[in-house]
Amino acid sequence: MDEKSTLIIVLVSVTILLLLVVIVAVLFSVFIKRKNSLLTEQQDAQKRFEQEIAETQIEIREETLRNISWELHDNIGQLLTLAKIQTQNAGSDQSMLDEAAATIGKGLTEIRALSKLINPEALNTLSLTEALELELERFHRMAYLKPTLTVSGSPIAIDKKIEVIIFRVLQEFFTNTIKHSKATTLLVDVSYSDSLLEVIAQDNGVGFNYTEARAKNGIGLTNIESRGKLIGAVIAISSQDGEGTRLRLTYKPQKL
Amino acid sequence: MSYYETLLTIYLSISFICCSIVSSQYHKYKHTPLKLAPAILWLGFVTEFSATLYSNYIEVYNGWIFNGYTFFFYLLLYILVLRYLKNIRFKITTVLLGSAALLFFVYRFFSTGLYNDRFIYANAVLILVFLISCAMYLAELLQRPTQLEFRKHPEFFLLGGYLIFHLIYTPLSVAYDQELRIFSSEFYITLISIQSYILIAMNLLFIYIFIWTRKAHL
Repeated sequence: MDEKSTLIIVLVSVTILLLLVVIVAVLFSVFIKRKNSLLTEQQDAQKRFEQEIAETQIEIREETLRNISWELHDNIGQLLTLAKIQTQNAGSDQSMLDEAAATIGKGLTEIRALSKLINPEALNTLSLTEALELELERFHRMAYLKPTLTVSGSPIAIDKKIEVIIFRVLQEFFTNTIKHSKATTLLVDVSYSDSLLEVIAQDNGVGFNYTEARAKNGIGLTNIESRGKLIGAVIAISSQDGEGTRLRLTYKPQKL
Repeated sequence: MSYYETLLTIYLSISFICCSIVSSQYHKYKHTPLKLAPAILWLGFVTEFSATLYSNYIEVYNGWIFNGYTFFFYLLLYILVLRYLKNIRFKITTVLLGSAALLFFVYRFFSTGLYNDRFIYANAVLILVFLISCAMYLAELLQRPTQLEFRKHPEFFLLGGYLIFHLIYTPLSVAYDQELRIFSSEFYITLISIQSYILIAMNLLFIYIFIWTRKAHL
């Protein structure tokens, strides 16, 4: 082999090796770029989730304070006022005094029930069904409507943070029912099956036109749907004027 | 030595010394495995310098100096990669392959003529092991669940630079071996030019990388 051809072979080899290195470097940087953007998306999603959790917890607390305020004013306040009138009018009448004592006792029971709501740890220590039971019991006590809770199947393991969001979604629905629907009954059915949670909440109120309400971008509906999306739950709301409202939430915990 | 060769040697030496000084000045890597980098770079400069002196004043053929350098250079380089690897299987593979390659090099060093052998096979084995360990390091970087910011990974460029140079040097070393036997000095100068320019470019890249990269928190 002469000098020229050897030189050509050397140069070609060097060029091919350089090209190979460049190709590997480009491929590597593309992979790294993709990996980095994927990680950024994951971090952003995690951040959004944490933020939503924090907001949800604040909303639950605010809702609780509002409920306490209502209960103090409409329920306990009324009972104490009644007890005050009864004692003022009783004089030395023992039966009237007994009635007043019974009213105060009823007030105390209400205060005990209320203290469960005030406890900030309540939602963290209670399961979803227990929290729902407490919430519905309050509606019954306040005579807002007649609630019914049914639970079927064995509860599945769900992250506490996710349970808080599910509870908040349902709480939002209940608040809307009480405020706007004029419903007299509220049926809540919680069923666990094959690592799937299904909650159906249905009232018999005036209902609303879902398409119109969605078009108006009502904050309540948006919140419910965006939160469902955040945790990967499927939420379906159906309602028609005069036919009540139904919410169906299905959630399948993701296996890590 | 021709005027052109002298000029190339001067440029090369300047790039080597600048790179070594810059690497020694940057203490931002002293807590990382990259603290080995100044040793590797100074070793290169000292070898280049002593090989030039030896060739000019003692004997023309200075290949044995580069062969001795090759052993210590790869030893340091394998240690560097080893310290960056976190996966235990990759570490064990690097240790086994690296030890085998270095032992093979030592065997060749003592079993062939020191003054007329360029250790083509031994060099090829060393570069192959280096290539494999670099590939393992890249695979590990891709597997890590953290974002990779090139600016915080100067080792990526250092290892990449050495990998490029030594991959390119492999066909050159084969040609050098031919040249010693049959070809003219012009051919030799062409090879030397290619090698020198790549080395200068590599050193300039290293200088830039040492200044550009940020302190890494390992």
